[in-house]
Amino acid sequence: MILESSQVKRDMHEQVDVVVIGSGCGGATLAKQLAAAGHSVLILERGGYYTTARGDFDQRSDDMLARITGGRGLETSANGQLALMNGNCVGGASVHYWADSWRLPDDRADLYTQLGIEGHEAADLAPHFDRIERDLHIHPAPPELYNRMNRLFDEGAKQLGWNVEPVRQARRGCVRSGHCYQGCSFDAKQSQLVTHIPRALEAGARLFADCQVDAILTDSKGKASGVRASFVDRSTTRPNGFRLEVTARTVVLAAGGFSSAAIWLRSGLPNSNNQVGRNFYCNPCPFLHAVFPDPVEQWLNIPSATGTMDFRLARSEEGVYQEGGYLLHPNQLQPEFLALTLPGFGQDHRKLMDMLPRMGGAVSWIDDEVPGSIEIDAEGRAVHRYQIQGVDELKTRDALKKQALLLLAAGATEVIVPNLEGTRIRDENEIAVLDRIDLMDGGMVFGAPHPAGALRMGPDSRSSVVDSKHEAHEVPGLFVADPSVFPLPPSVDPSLTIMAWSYIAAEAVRARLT
Amino acid sequence: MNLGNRTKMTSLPVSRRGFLQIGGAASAVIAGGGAGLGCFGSPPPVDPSLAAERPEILSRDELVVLAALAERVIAPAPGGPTPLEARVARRIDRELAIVGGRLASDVPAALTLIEFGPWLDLRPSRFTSLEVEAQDDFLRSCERSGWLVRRQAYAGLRLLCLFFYYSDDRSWPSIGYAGPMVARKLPEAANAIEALDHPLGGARS
Repeated sequence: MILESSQVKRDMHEQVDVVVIGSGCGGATLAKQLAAAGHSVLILERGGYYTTARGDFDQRSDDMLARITGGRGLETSANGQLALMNGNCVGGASVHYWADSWRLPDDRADLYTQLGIEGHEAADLAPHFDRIERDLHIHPAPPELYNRMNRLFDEGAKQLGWNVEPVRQARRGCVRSGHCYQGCSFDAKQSQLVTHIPRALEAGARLFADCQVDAILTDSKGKASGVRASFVDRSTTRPNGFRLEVTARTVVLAAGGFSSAAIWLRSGLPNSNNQVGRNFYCNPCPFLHAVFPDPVEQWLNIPSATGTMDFRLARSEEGVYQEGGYLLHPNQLQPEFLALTLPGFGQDHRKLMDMLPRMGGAVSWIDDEVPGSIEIDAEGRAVHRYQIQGVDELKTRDALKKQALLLLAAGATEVIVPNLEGTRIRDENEIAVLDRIDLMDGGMVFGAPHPAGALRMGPDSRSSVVDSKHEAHEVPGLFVADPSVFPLPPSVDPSLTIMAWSYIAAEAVRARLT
Repeated sequence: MNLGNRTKMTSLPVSRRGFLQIGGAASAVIAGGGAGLGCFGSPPPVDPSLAAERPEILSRDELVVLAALAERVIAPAPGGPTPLEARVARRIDRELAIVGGRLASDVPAALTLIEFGPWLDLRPSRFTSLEVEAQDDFLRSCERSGWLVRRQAYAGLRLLCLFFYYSDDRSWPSIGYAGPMVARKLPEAANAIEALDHPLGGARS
């Protein structure tokens, strides 16, 4: 059963075993497991419920940012450097993700173990990954999913001697429309909306959409006891006047890496060691455009059928950073996003737009090491403070240089930096300019697609927020099941890891309930 | 302090953050030069279609500045709509009415900075009163400005203009984009042209 705000005609009160805040990879997976185990589960989702049957996924960026993206696609970090790419709909960010599906690398699972995380080792995760890959029809991208930019990427990498591999994809019956970021119009992308959410509902879970959690409630002993929420009118994006109060035996915070810490802070929950909202990572994405002699039409077919893992781990010598620390992939932007990321204005911009069909590009996901923070303002809204700095700036510049190298090797006649100056690179000798361009202060804007860490897991409440059972150190009965708990970024797309960790979180909640 | 016609522009939008972070700077510009701004008069007369717009967040003067900026930022391809025809400024205004919050105060502040920015360069004119060549020179100076807030104001407004122009399907044929494979369905809180002449909302009391 899904309830939408248009159906709500009065204030409501619910009593359940588990209330889950958020319906993305974390919340949906956990809800499915607990409902299947026979518990009464209520999922609350701030965003709307949208379906292909209703024709909601119309592939237009203006409409779809409004429907499925947090802040309608206009949210940035406090300094304006990062565009926050968060979901705000049933299914969460998985509705706009690229369907890239990576298992957590063993080296990163080992690192988490070294940090004191228990029960999340590679061997613990493997059966969950097996199941997720089966349930979401995950498979290596076949040749027919390679668009022109993907093939150019492989050609460039081959010239440079870099290894490439097909990226595993959560897709079934993909029609190659190229509108993955706007939400799949054909239910082919295996987002939570078409996988774990319907399975949770089939198992008896209920879901209230357009329902914004105002506060997590606690009882007189400090144990989580439920939530207070407001229904949101989609036509105004403001509360519609009707309230919800939920009494629950356990509360699961799964609102995503951008939002969960803010809900905690807004609720006034204990934060004795000032750890809530700290250690915020986000996988910043530097990218470059490139002009090729022949049509590329990067907006067709899927975004990243291929990529190289050669630079996933940073390489240092005697403690000094040398290279790497990111993934490197072909990029895909729809024309309206290409327009706003191409430099210049007026006729200069027009000349670039005239070359749009021949425009390709590359993108990297930086495995960031220098965290920012999440705070709330006087109105309780999240403020994301983050600056690409230190070793992350070195990684970013190295990633840009590797992108330029690859794009030129693939045959690009010109590489275009999406900065205000509109820096151009026409041959390898000019790549060094990327060591000098201004990355800060609005000089360039980066995507921030993969938040993590702001409610991190660890054995010690002085340096972490939740324990290895996903339960808050300071709030019994409050569990966290989203990437906020990652002690460090997973170094790959996090969706599979979020789901696998949520299977573990579901077991912990289940143990608490029985 | 004589604020002259500046009273129609944003004066005190001090934001704690935002894509522009320029509210405080805009206020400082106005406060510092307030005595003289009235000397530069009102924005020049505007196209009747713009005069007919009913902005929800921006003042009329701010809408005029935004429309003038959009005209310089966007050079339509042959056959494409002008920024005025694409109602870029009004669509941005509608989006501000929907998202509210800091963005709804940062954008007016940025427009103030753009409109009176030439004055800071010792050019006794509003942006909207400059010849188009001088407007382009001014925007180029914003692009390369060592003053962070000016660069951010330009960058943020430029981004909004381009997005709301190139999300108009009439702009697509000229750039080689065939468009979506499925029919359009407006969201409940839409910023599309079709929605602009209808009031936003239907909120319950």
